[in-house]
Amino acid sequence: MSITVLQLHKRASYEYKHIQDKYAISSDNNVCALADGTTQSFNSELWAEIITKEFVNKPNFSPQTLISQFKESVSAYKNGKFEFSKNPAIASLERAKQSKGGTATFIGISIKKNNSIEVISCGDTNLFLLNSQNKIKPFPFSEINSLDANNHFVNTEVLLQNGIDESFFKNTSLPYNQSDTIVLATDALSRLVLKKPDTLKELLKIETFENLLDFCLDKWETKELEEDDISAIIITPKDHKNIKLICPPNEFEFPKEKEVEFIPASLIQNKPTQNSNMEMNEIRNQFNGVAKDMHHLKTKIKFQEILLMVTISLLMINILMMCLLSPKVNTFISKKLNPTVQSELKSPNKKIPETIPPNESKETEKETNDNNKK
Amino acid sequence: MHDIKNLTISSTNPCLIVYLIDQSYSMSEQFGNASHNKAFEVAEAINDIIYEVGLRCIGSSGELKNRFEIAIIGYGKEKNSAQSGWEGQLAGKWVVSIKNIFEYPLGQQNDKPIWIKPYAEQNTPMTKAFENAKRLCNDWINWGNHRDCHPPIIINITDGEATDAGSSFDPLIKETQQIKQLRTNYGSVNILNIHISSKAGDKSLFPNETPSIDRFGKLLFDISTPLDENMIRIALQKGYRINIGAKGYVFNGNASDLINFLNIGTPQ
Repeated sequence: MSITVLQLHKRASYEYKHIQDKYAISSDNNVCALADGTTQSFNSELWAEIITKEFVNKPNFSPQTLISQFKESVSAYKNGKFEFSKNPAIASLERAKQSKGGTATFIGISIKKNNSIEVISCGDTNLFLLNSQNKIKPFPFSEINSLDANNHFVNTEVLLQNGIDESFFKNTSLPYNQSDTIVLATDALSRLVLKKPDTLKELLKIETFENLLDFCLDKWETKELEEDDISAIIITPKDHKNIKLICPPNEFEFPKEKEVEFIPASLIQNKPTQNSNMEMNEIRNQFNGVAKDMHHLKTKIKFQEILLMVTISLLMINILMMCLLSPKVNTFISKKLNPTVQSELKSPNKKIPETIPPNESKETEKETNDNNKK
Repeated sequence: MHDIKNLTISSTNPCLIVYLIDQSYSMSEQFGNASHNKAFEVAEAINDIIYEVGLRCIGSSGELKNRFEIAIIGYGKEKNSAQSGWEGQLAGKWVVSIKNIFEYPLGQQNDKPIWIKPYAEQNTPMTKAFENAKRLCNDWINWGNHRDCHPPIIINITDGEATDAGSSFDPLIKETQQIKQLRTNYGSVNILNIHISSKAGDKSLFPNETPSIDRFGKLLFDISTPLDENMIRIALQKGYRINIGAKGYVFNGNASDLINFLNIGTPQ
């Protein structure tokens, strides 16, 4: 007997870890269970996980015994860890949800060697038995209206208050052939199969996660399939013992929606017409204030512009004066230095002797003598 | 047009709910046999219903999904004026997503967040409120993918006659007729009315025929749209005996009728 599990979380959950459909399989005992934790109840995925595991460990098809079994499991659910939001408003919602408990649908089956299937279910998770002639036998719901009208779920608080009785559960024994295929599906998929039975064939062709993703995206796009967690367990009794899980890989996640705030343009445009006189006066005053500030700012900028112009002009004059009045080296050399020095300067490799021009030395001598006489 | 049965309200296909709240002076009158006034009762009911909507939107990871967008239009707080009814950090906003609503409550009361306070101030410019609701719904429908969403739901809560609709109420009737012509691919905009008249008279809950109240009660009945299948289902679950074609109108309901009415008007 081979078992294939198909699972894809709803787009709004983004990641597979948030899926609220849970399953459990015991291939040794040919027992499996599928539960759909409801979105609106508290920590429902934990509750769904607890009841499926509990059933697979101790399969029981008597409603009364199963109710007692589930009731005992409520403590495990209550002991589960949960971190409340730091936002007091959201934490208040979480506490309100917590007081109402966890809710899940449930279906459990056991495939017997005498070619019969024992089934017990509560809620809108359905079984489909497909035979070799492609005829489908659904259980417990055979048409959409009855599935939609379902009002029975396994809720922790209702269990504790003994509010769940045998009428919540439906159980039966279905004969099957080795060539048949058994499919357990959560509500969204069940609804689609009931509406379009051919979908079951498409579902059976899914071999990879990519196939499953394409299948769901296509059906979501055409709105044939509800935006919900999608889970199915496909059992083929004739095949070799094998369990295959087709679910999103770790790195897979649906993109988060862009949060764009809707702003009603026509109401925003009309807002000024709704202002009172007092508001209008205030707006006018504020506008006048801004205009005054702008005037001051303009005057200041003008003054700064003039200062800048003056500074630039002075700088330009300064540069011009420097260019005009700076001594020219070649003229000085030609006028002041004697031919010997000139030639020395022209040939820089020669060492310049420490000499004083003859005219200047004579003048210096004369000055010294005059001083001495004085 | 698509079948509304196939529509799931989600963060990708949200639903807009517009609450029109009468904040006129007459709302200061006592509410039924209660010790508080009508304005207080209405504010409490609106705060409660926003909280209920929050409960429907919170995911298992504690994240609020934007399945609902809510507008509150108050009329009569200022003379001849219909304005956004949001206060505090949300003041001035017309439409707020449920996620932002829970980010910015005004405060907490009995461990529950609150968003609006009771007001009973001026006259009753109801036509203006419906005109704003019309503009808002029109803009919302034509924005993004909203044509593929649940049609907006307008829930008007009032205790008296409109003061801006003349003696024939023609302007008000015209506005509501124009609103009913607005539609998404899943149907036209719904208008529901809760009439908390202080006049003595029998209760009238979701009637199929015009109630014999006053002419304004008749007008509110006339402008109300029939409850859709989903609303009828919830109303039946809440114990109301109603028939197909019942109108979204309640007269002289008590506090639980008020909250039930708001719940029935909020799609599941």
